[in-house]
Amino acid sequence: MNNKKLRKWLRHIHRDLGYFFVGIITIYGVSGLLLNHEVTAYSTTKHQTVIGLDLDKDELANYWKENHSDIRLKNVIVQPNDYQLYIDGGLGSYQPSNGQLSYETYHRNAIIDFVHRLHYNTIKGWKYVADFFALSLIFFAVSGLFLSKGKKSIRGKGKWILLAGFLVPIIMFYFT
Amino acid sequence: MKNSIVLMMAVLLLAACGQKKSNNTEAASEPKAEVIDVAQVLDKAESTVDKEVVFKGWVSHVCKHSGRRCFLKSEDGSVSIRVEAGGKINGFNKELTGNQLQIEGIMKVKKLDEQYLSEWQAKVEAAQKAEDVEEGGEHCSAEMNNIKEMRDWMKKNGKDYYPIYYINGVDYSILN
Repeated sequence: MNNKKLRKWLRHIHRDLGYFFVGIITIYGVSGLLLNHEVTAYSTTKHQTVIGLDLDKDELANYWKENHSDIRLKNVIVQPNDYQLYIDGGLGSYQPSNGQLSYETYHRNAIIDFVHRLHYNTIKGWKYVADFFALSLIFFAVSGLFLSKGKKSIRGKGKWILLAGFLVPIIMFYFT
Repeated sequence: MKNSIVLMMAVLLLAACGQKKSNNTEAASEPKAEVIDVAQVLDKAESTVDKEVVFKGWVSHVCKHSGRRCFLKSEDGSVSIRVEAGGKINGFNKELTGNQLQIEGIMKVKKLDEQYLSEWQAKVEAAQKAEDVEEGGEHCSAEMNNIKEMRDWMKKNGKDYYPIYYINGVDYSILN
């Protein structure tokens, strides 16, 4: 196969794989950005209030039923200095000594959860798609080297840009 | 390029159809009668390593990034055990926090030997020197205490390792 034909095939496959992976590249890109800035799929809502002192487990449960009936209290574990509250989708604590009641609940963002789960490879079978994607990314990188001709090709100014791209991670890894 | 499209779809279909449908739904399996608590499963952990166990506990923490693991507390809140997502479990939603789960899984153990503890201690001591004393002192002290407690346990029990028991989860259902 001569260079012209090879370049044509590389361009076609690069193009079609590129179209195919637009969605998946976007998923990994968005998820990567969010993870880089520690944005998780869950938001936390915190509440704090002061209620009666020295409530026992049943009194606390009654208080909760009357004042926070929108969140189901599932269990109360009595510890030496506080009560641990297990509520639907969250946790809380009550300190009998000062009446401090605090709790937090977690709420899922479906879109962020979707991209994170795929990025973290927690979906059954996704491993194989991700492997194919990873190999395709390598193909994109290598095939991209040969798509252009002339002054702007890898033999021209392309080689300097390629070198710069390799140097960035090396410099950051070893010298920062 | 119909061939390339067909190839890509074939890869996806193979990945999807080659896997059993994941079972990450709530109340996936029927709760079994007389399921033991976290405390009881830990009591007999040594004798059940690499065997299937079924137990229940209260979700006190779910890994916020991938949901790959959660921690379950015993009914009295005295002990907890880590459960890794595996088998039919895609991952744990953080909204499971506060719920009581029944877990089916395999008991596993990580043995921390004296070499591991010595290396850990060396890292903590190095971190203590590097960090600000006021800020890093408390953190390093807690870790050093942990290491000391582990060594005391090893001496008391005549073992040359400290066992960390955890569960490779296979399936779960929500009890409460």
